[in-house]
Amino acid sequence: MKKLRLFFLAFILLALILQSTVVDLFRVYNIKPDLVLLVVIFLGFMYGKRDGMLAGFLGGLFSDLAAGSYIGLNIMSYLAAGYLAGMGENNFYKDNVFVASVICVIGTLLSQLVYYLLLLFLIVDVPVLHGIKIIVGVALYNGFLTLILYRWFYMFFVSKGYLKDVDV
Amino acid sequence: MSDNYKKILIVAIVITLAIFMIRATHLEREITVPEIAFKYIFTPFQMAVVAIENAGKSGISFLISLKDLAEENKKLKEEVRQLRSELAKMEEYKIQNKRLKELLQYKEFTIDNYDLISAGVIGRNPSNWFSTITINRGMQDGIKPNMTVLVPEGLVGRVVIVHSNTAKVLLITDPRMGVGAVVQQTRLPGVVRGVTGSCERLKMLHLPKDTQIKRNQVVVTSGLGGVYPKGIRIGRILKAYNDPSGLFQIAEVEPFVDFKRLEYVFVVTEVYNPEINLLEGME
Repeated sequence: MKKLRLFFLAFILLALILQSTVVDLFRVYNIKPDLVLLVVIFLGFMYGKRDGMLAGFLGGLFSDLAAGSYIGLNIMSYLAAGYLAGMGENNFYKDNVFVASVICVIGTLLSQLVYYLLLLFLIVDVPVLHGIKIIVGVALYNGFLTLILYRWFYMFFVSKGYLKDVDV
Repeated sequence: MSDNYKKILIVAIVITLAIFMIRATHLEREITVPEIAFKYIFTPFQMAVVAIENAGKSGISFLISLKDLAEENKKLKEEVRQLRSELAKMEEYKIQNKRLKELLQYKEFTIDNYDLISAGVIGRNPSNWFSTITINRGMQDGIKPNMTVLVPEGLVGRVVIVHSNTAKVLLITDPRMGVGAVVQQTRLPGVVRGVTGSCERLKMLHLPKDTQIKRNQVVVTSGLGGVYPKGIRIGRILKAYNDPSGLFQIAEVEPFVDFKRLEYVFVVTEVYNPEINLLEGME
């Protein structure tokens, strides 16, 4: 189990390194995907609410430390997404890429919405239309990336023997 | 107390604590030990990826050149092809050389007015909501908070957090940023602010309503506020419209700097002549 958590940590850190460096090159209409959130949602969907929240906490904490301000903002938004994705663990087929993609879109929508609401609370000026553009844009981008990356991610954990319920 | 109530109570406590923590950790504050430790561990990985990214960019342009050459060289022998490949490499060096020369000229041009330190961009803000970058210069290089960061094209932002070897720069496209500015042609004062989720648009606020604002007018720093030197180019006006209160106008400004492709920047460590107008100088 410890090794599994190390994999969690490794994937989150890898996603964060890419997110804070090269991902900016892949902006579409000024929106970039959120790779850390993607990993959090994948892990939540594959391992359940508890592990989803653990991944959300770690991903959020490291993202906040990398951003250098408002420590807790990403923790809260990723926690919500990890928990939501974890709710799908026992209710859907985990090997289905399209189901994972829908979960990812919904999880990202929730996470970005929490982020937006917290920004309003912090009195950061975000016009509503811009907020909606980011929330929906990131959700769609992440949903699209899930179609490409989820299968590979899922098979990695299956091949290592770390999936509780192998549906393949 | 039932389990449900307990859960709700725990969630409420966690949210309250989180909100306190978020509020307490705004951008301009003393950095804490865990943050410094994280930066120490994380930065080398960022630098490695950025180095690969830059090598990749050169590699791609090199490959494109190679493809072009292959078409030209169908009739030529292997030896000539080798030479062509060398030429492609030279071309890449030439472009790089030209870019570095421009940076150097800019540095020489500003030498009497500013003391500049060049810095490489090694990290960007992970989220879509804020715009910050991390540069590979820090306290050891004499970088201090509030120093102006610019490139030959115009203003980039200001330093907000300084670590020993790195520093965080708040870009002018960040919604938390405000820059005292004037429209260069008419000297109309205003404040330039970032727009969330957009690195291609800025807003110039508090422009007097009874004045005419034209497309393509240039916006430069006003020097008011004491953070930014006067006369640094910011962007050009695209359009203007009345603000919701009806008392002022808001201008949409396109920044001169391409924030998506920032690789190198200059940090102004000393200002000798605050009255310089860089636009006139560059032209």
